[in-house]
Amino acid sequence: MSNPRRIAATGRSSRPRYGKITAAVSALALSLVAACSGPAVPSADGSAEVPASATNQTLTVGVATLQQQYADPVLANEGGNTYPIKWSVGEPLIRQELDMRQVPALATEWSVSADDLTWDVKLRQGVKMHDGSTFTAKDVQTSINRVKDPAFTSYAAYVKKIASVEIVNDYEIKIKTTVPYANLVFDTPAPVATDYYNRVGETEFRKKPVAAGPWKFDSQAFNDSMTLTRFDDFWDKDRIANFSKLVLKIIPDESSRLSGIQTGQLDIAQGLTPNSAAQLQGSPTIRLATSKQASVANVFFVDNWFDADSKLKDVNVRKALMLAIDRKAIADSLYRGFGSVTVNATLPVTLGNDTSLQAWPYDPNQAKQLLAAAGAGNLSFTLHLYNQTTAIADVQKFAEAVIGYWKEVGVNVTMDAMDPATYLDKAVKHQLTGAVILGTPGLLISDPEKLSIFYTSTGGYSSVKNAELDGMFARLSSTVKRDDQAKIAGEISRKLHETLYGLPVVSLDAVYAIGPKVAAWKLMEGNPYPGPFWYLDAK
Amino acid sequence: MTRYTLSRLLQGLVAMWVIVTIVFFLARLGGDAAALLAPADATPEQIAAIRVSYGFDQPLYLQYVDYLRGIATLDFGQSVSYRQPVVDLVMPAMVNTARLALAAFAIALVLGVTFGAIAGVRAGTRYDQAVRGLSVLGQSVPPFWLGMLLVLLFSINLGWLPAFGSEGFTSLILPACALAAFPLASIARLTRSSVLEIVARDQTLFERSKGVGPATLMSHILRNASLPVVTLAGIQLGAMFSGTIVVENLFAWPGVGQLAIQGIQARDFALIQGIVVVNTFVFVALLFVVDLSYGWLDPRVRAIKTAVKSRVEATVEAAA
Repeated sequence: MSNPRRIAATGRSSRPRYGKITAAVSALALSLVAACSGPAVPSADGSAEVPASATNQTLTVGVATLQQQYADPVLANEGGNTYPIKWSVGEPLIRQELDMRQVPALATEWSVSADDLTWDVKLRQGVKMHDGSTFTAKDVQTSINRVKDPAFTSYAAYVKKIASVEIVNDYEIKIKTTVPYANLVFDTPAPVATDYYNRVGETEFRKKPVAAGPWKFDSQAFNDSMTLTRFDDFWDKDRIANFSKLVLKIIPDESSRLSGIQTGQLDIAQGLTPNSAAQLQGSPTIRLATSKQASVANVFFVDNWFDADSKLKDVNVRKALMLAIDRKAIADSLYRGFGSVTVNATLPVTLGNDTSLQAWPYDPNQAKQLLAAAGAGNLSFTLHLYNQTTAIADVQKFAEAVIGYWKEVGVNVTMDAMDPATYLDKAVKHQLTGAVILGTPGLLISDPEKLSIFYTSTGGYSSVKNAELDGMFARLSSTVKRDDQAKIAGEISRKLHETLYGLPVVSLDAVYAIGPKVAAWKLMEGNPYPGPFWYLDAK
Repeated sequence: MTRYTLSRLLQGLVAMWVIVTIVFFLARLGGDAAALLAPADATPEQIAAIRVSYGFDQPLYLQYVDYLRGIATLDFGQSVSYRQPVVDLVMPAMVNTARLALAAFAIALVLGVTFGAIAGVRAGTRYDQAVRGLSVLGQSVPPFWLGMLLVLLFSINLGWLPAFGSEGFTSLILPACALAAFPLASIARLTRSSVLEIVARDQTLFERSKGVGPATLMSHILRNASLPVVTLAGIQLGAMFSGTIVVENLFAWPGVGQLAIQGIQARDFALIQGIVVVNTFVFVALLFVVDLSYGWLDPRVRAIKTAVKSRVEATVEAAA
């Protein structure tokens, strides 16, 4: 488990099975008092030994959302909140290890031709699919052909780059691309059982998919839960759980997830804000676990995307705005230590991240001087944000804190909070001016090319048009060798640090509460989303 | 009575048509659904392909005609975000919401009428004061806060009931109680005032003076006092079907409320429309039943309708 911390809490106390009304009222009063009290002192970790076969054969995980709740692991590529299924039911050619390294999964070797356009992928032998069939190159081809349907919107960019797919033999496949595509093998959809797919058809397959992941899809109660069962024939024995059933229970309300872990209805509660985590402090049975630097809370200055004049186009003004924010105070107070000051837009998990860069300090005096020198003493603009996002906990409080610091250096900022659908729509269409808040999940930006979404003139959520950055990202996307990519990514890393088109204010941890039935769980660094449910064992 | 029934039915259908039409057009004012469905780095060509795939490229009137035809055949289309037929999403959710709403309604109706009726016949006593006080409290406390308190008490501290979920009878108790508080208080208050009015009537005094037994007397009072209560109860039940969002969210109850939130967040036109159509149908059907029940509960309503009908016919004959 990643930095597991057992936390003190109000917790469950010994309680009467039945009581009179007076007892109930007393309990309510005590609960209210306890709920209002501050955090207690953390105690030592109490991890237990992992039995080969657990006594508890079902673990229930409370998740805030599974978004569209696709059972199909290929369809479940629509965004991080669908990844629990993608990671559990599906097994890709290359997967990310818990430290974000790309490691072989169903592909064992891959190489690219001299012109960088033809990939030769060797596949793992002896792998079973969930229906007992043997995995072959045909299953890879079927999956690629499926995503050519526009319904697989998240594969639109992938499909555009695919020229052809050729099966060399059962365990070798050649994929030709129209342009150099460094992440081709990694981005290729998880293989699906071809014979089963052809037999049941697309519609039925989506309801009951058959792939090769460590968990088999069992059943789904829409908007309620998804049940997975352990796949005993999974090729990677290290990732097979010691219990048989995993229930992903959708509980949108955070306080209910908190109640669930306290009452024992849940074994793992995902997506807890620091305030909720504090309520669990002192519990003898509940531990907290974190995925470090799961996302970065950024402020992007979108005026840099437009041609019109704006003080926010002045790099010194942007530096002043960065210097004006006491980021450590935000990390320590608002996020209660479940956040940290970021050095740059790239994270340690990002390929090519330049570790020699220094974090911008908190220096309000220098900020005032820079603003005055830039003639921006009376700077004012609007900070737009969404009122809910998985990537940034307490996003409105975060915005209020940032605005408060800016006010102290004489910058007046109006807050404009919108629902996510309206906000993201406006952001994509460049209908927002001033500044915007966006979370960048570590999982996403572990691939530096994905930063182009935010920093190139064609990026969906871009806040800037800068020819130099565009050129850097173009070079990055046409480079397939990992070392070369890392060098270019390093350049980008430094450029973003200097130019501050976006302020990476703080990085945030994803917080889980772990109940007493869980023996061990290793979390993925830089992942704000639920799962992956590998290396998870019950007592 | 048949004419009255048909007229109410027609009114209901017109109301439904107006609402579903408004919803259709409002939903499409919100933005380009194809662009929303596309990934952030999608090209205009990819967005165009998605637009064609989902029929968003069709003229609005054609989309509308298809939509009305679909409603008539219970085909609300395909959810753009969930990639499933809307009817497959809405109907199970509606069943769950109906379970919750009916349980809450049963609590509200039985307790509300009981407390209200007793408070009405014992007006001015401590019992009456207590009912009035609790009614104000019930109408003032937001259901989400009441729900959280109930969870804190009965789930976390006492461990008697599950904190959330929809499996089994026990999981129904807390959300139903949280949802029932407001209508219970409303029904109790209205029953009390209605009973008070009937108790004060000469008819009741006459029955008392003739020595009619308390049970019979109470049944007469309740039947006479029931018209406004039935009206309110019908509206409250309809509101429960469409107003359970907060309670469903708090108790992770997989009903229509949660589905509606997800549909709105994803700008899933077809899903939003499906939910509104089904909710409208439920509401209109409930009001229809309430209207019909007037005639059963109060013979004077039937008599008035008959009298009006005779008068109209007489007028028409005279004019002829």
